[in-house]
Amino acid sequence: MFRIGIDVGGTFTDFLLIENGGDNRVYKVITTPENPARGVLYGMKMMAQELGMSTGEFLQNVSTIVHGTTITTNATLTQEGAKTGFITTKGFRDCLNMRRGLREKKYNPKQSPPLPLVPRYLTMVVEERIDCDGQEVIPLHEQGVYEAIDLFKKEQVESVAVSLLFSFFNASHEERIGEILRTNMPDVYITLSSEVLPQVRVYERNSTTALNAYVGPLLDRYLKELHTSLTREGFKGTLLIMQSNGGTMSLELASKFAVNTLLSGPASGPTAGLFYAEPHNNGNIITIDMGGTSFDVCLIKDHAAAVTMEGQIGNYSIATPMIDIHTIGAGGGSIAWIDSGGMLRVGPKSAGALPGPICYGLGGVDPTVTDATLILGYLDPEFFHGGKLKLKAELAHQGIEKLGEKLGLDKVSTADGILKIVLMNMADGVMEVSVKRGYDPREFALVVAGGAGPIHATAIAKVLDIPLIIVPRESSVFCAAGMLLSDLKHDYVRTYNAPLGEHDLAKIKELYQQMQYEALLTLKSEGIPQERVSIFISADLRYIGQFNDVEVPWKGFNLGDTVYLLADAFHHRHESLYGYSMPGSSVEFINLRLTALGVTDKHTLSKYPYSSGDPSPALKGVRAAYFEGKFLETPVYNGLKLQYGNLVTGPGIVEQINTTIIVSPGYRLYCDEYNNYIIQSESFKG
Amino acid sequence: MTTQKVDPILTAVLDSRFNALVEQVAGAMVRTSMSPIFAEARDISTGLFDAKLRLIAQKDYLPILAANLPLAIQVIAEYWNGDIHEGDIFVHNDAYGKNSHQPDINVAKPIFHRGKLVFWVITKGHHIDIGGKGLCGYDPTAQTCWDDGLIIKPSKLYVEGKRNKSVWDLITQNTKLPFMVEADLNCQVGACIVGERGMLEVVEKYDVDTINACLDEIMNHTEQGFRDMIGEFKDGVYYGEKAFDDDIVNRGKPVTVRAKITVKGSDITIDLSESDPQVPSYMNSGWGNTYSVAAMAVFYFMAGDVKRNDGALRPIKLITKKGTCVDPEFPAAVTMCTCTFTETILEAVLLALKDARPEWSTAAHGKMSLHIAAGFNPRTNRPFALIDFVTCGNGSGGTDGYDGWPQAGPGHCMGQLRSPDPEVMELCSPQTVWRNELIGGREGYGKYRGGIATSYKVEYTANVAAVECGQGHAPWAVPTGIFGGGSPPPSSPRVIHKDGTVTPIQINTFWDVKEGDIYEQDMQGGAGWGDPLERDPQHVLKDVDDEFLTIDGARDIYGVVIDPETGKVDEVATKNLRQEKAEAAATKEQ
Repeated sequence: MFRIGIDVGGTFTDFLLIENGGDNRVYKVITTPENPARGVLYGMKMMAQELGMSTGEFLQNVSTIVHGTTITTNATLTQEGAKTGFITTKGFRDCLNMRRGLREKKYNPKQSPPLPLVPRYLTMVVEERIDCDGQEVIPLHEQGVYEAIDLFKKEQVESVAVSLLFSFFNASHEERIGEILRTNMPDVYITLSSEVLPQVRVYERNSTTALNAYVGPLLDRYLKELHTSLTREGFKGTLLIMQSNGGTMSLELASKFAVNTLLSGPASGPTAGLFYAEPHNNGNIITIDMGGTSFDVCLIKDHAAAVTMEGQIGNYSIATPMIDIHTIGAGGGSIAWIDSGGMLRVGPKSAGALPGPICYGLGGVDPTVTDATLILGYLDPEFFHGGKLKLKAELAHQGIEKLGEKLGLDKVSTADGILKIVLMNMADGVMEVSVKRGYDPREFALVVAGGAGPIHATAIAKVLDIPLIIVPRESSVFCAAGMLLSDLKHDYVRTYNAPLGEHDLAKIKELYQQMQYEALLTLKSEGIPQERVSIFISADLRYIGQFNDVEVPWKGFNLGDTVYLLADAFHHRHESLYGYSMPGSSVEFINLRLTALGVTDKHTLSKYPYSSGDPSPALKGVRAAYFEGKFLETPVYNGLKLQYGNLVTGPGIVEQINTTIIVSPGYRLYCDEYNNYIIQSESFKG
Repeated sequence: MTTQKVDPILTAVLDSRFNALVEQVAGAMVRTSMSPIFAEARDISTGLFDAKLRLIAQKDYLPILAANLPLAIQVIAEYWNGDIHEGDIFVHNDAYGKNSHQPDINVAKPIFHRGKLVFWVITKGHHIDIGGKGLCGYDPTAQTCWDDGLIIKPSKLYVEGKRNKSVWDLITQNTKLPFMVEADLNCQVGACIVGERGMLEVVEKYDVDTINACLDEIMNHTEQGFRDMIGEFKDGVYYGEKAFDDDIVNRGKPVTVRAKITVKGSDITIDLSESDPQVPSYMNSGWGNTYSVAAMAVFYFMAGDVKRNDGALRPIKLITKKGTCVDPEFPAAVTMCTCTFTETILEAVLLALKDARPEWSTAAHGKMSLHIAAGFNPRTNRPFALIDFVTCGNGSGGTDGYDGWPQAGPGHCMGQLRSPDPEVMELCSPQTVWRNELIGGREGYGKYRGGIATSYKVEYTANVAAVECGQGHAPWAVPTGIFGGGSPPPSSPRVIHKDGTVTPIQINTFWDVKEGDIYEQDMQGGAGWGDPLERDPQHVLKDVDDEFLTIDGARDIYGVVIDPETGKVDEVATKNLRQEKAEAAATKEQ
């Protein structure tokens, strides 16, 4: 049986195929942005062909597909989501767009607020009110809902979000509005805040709900089409979608909770990074993933990626848990351009897959990072994408030359300048997650991924003085690999407010049981038997009177016996986080949380025997590559022939299909016993 | 002494580390406080200093606190000079000891490494009560700083690691909400410890001399960047003045701040000595606050984000005259200095400097009329106190190329005050919020208009005490539009009683809230920048679509004709109408 990880990026769609938990195969096809499902199917056909099977025969043997998609992310960033209407409580029309009055850069008056997800004219208010005890104060005036529907129909909205005050205590009004909407607008995608995020705080809940509505219809359409096409071709296995929280979920849940896929693409990166860094006993890593369009960075400390519940995407708040990944617009396709001040700039605009860099010869006219790397001799025009895409070097030369003329530079200096600028942008990105959050990047190993990552890895490491670089052999499909290593994961929350000591244990048990029941049912629907489910429960606690809470894990299921240990754990955690605790003061419950993991089968790293230090059996040629101001004759090795122990001293180039590793002078690369590449600076001792 | 060359990577790492750390210290305060002022509105600031008391980094959630920490720490260090020991923690709130106002309590901890004082960490926050008869520290009848509230000269909360119980008791027992003041002092102590732990980690890794060498580099670099920017200002002497409603005792008589600003090369001197004499109410600004506003006003013109360490403050000089409202003689009351006074000094400086750097000039934010309430909440069975920051929902001013932002707050907040969450407020206070949304027609018009104002309506479910503080009810106090832009109308908060009768609320007065009373205010939007007749007709149309402006308003104010049938701009009619209006205005001027 096969398991496949599929990561649809802005430029390439990556596949990692694993056969019977062992052999890995890497595939890559060009993304088809107008309908990403087409690229996915094309990839399936290609894999079947290589295995000498018909597509149907192959797909029948696929047990699991884990899929990461950037469809929702892109729609949000490019503001091309669904036309969305919003219904909220009368008197609170602008809570979503006022963004709690915050202007992030206070000393810069020259900025505009982010464009609203829902414009004011599509935000409708209805007369109704639930109070802070969950009691109805004003019944729902349904007339207002029908008025909203009239407007939404006239304006042809595709999606409607509903978020009412205190609906997390009493969802009856929201549910009734949902019913009316479903009856009267059956084709419209409907999101209720009480389903997406039943949690206190209006703006954060509104924003999460509106985002779900904004991206939901697109994702729903895409997933339906993908599933239909795969099924038509013979697929009978499980299709799972990667979520922002680092876990996976079923198709049905993904369609309903689209907001949880906003980081679907990169969220499996940390899991993959830890997997490959494990043999080097390193739980402190920074993963960088550079594809055609973007550069994703994530810092992992003590084996755990940071998770945030105060996430943002394109200036919109998301309060559901997500892996804390920083993204900048720097990739192989990033376009080099000259700004109004005559300065050379690179990105964030990307030539994407189509037309792509000039050297693709697919009609691209804007010089890109990939064109520059080709001119500097880092890429082999005959071996790009495994030779499936012959690069047109002469076109790249012309394009870069033309750009250089405007700057008064020759083409090599221009290409070198483009790389220097993109390097600075990437180094800033790494600083953002490390230095700016108080971590010294030198204490982390750099795990490098993505088609374009290994070209720049030693240069980035050099700028930041990072001593250890790990390039997995599957680095070009890193996130796809991570997806196959991820478990199904669902987060649940219930707001429960009572002082510890006056709490109602039966009620607490009931709420946990509700969540557990929901979790087991969901995981069952996703094909996970009960013995494969791991449940973690926690509670958000605070001192009575505080406004914020601390999440404390609740160990052991005998809740009655451990409730006082929970208080101790809270005091302790409060002290370590905030420098003090007040053991004499009363503590109260705010939220009860439950996370359920559906543990899936995973592959392991295979070990290979030691060969020798000599890499020459893998030598495939020599070419001129540009380092520190001049072209040097640089040996080129076939990565797939490099074996455990082989040592390449920079300058050197290691090539694999879809991956080119540049080893700068002053660095050395060796192949470890798992066939992954380890790069160190020559001055590094350790 | 180290002869090592400063490592640029290490300098960048440390600079960011310190900035991350002050943010972490502030985060500890926000996340653990029991007062909505810290936790929801973030009326706090935190800072790190070196042994020479130079500001290393600060997190100034409220910009008005931006330049005040260096003064507070100097006063503490001088007051206890020779008697500062490991484990000491200091507290200080004296406005005549260069603090802002008494509700802002500073808690500072010297950081020792191997027995030597190497750094300081300080936190400042606006406490929920500071004694006196005011609500949350605000007493419009106050005439002296003793009326304002408890005065704490620098004192020790901890003496060499031991809690100094008598000081804690003395402070907390002289406030009306002792348990909350104690909890928030605890929260500040904890935040200082978070800062100390972080700094000690840094010191353990790199030695103090290396760190200090990097700090010199960081501060010199900031100063240079700042001076380069001031170099972009046109040299000259500039004047600006602004008044607020009155001094309370003499109702209707404006109090004026006058700024004379000299820009020469890379130095700026702000002379406020011609301002009105000090007044017999809490409407004065102590020197510490005045200095902080002056620096903050200059930051407005700095074209974006500026680092705010010791280096940034070096090019700015302030001149005041003792006995004026911006530098009063002891014991004048000063509680309103961080709000009303800050807005007024700020606008005077903005109006003066607008001609020195017109392209970065900004019209002022709407002025704040602040609602405060306190009492007992029968629902939670606990006392509550509320500075209702929803009433800070003012719009910001327009600037060249950009409209002001809605709900960005008054000038002293600059979009940093996080507007309270209505659900959280109802869970804590005896309130039902009926409206918190935007309302058009209360912004200053202009080519780039002021930010849209917020409309607020809240009902009380218990009898409580309230006070209305601030300004902006008098026509001379509203922000002035610049380069042809308009001003918003004055504010007029009111109370609607159960029987339907309506009582206007006078600014700077106490009033009693009866159960069922509704407080209502449409806040003031920001002032406009540039001639409304030059506003992009499509932007005018968007305001009409968003229901901030009527079709009649578009025609009368902006000279934009919108066809009610198609909902589109009539380009020809608009061009003609605008020309007509421009000619009429020119005739009128002659």
